[in-house]
Amino acid sequence: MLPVIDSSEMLYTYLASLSEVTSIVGSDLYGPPGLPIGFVLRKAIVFFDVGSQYSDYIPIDRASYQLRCYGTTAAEAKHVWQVVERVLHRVKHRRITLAGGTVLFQYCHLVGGPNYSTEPSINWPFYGGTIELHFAENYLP
Amino acid sequence: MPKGDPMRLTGRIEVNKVTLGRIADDLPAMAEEMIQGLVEAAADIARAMVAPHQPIGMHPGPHPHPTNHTDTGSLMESIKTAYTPQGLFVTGAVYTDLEYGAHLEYGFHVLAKAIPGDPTSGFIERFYRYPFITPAIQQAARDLDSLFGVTARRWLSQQGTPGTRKTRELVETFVV
Repeated sequence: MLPVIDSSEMLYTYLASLSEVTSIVGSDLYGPPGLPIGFVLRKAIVFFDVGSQYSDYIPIDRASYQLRCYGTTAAEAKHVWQVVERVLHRVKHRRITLAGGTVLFQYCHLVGGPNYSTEPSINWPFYGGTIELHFAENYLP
Repeated sequence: MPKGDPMRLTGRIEVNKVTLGRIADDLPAMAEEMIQGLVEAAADIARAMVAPHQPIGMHPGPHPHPTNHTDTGSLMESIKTAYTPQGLFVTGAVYTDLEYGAHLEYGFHVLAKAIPGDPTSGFIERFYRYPFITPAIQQAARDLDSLFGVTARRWLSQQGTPGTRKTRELVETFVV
């Protein structure tokens, strides 16, 4: 049986490899299940898996993620979002090395948002949107 | 969530009319009937997931509830459906305009040791998430073959065309 590609690992690895991203949030980049316990409000990027679909006919998987960019103010959160959108929206054809092998990250686009909101019980400001990743369903040989 | 609009959580389902056109002549009406059936099924599942049950306070949302509240059924009643022909697709939507619906779907954090009114004072204690639109669409999509099969067979039998094509290739789902 072929190993399943972890799209969260792929997205994390891709974002963490970009100096545009690390220069603005440092290591505050988190995948599911969200911000870690003990996190204090500052600039950060968080993504949550929303769902995925495979194709019956071509070996391409699609995975959706909700992306949130936090900041201490709305303006700071928006700035983080703009950086992330610039490096993700319509990006195509990247080879990304994961623990299990190299994966072909074929395309990413913004399918919803961005929207400004605040966390309902804690009032932390964030910009959020939904992205969709397209990637080859198997590791490259 | 469309760009710039107020926060609306939308589950979107698309039927490709071009693909469908290979098997049916009167495709717009057939596609509309299919998408209507699918979004209504998804909306019913979503409403059931957020319906206030007895005893009061048991649903919806993560448990134990991080806030003290009574479930009123507002979220259940706010779930609506729509479908629109858009170019090559017929798009169906299951949505709610209540902002806390989006927070439940995508999740929210709860703080510990926060000073009231100072959002920078606390730190993350827990993360709660209660998706109800995505699972509803996925559940409805699982029954897609039978729902579409029945509709397609009826339309195609009226046209005298055998309905052999797999229906799953006609549909794409998104939650935004």
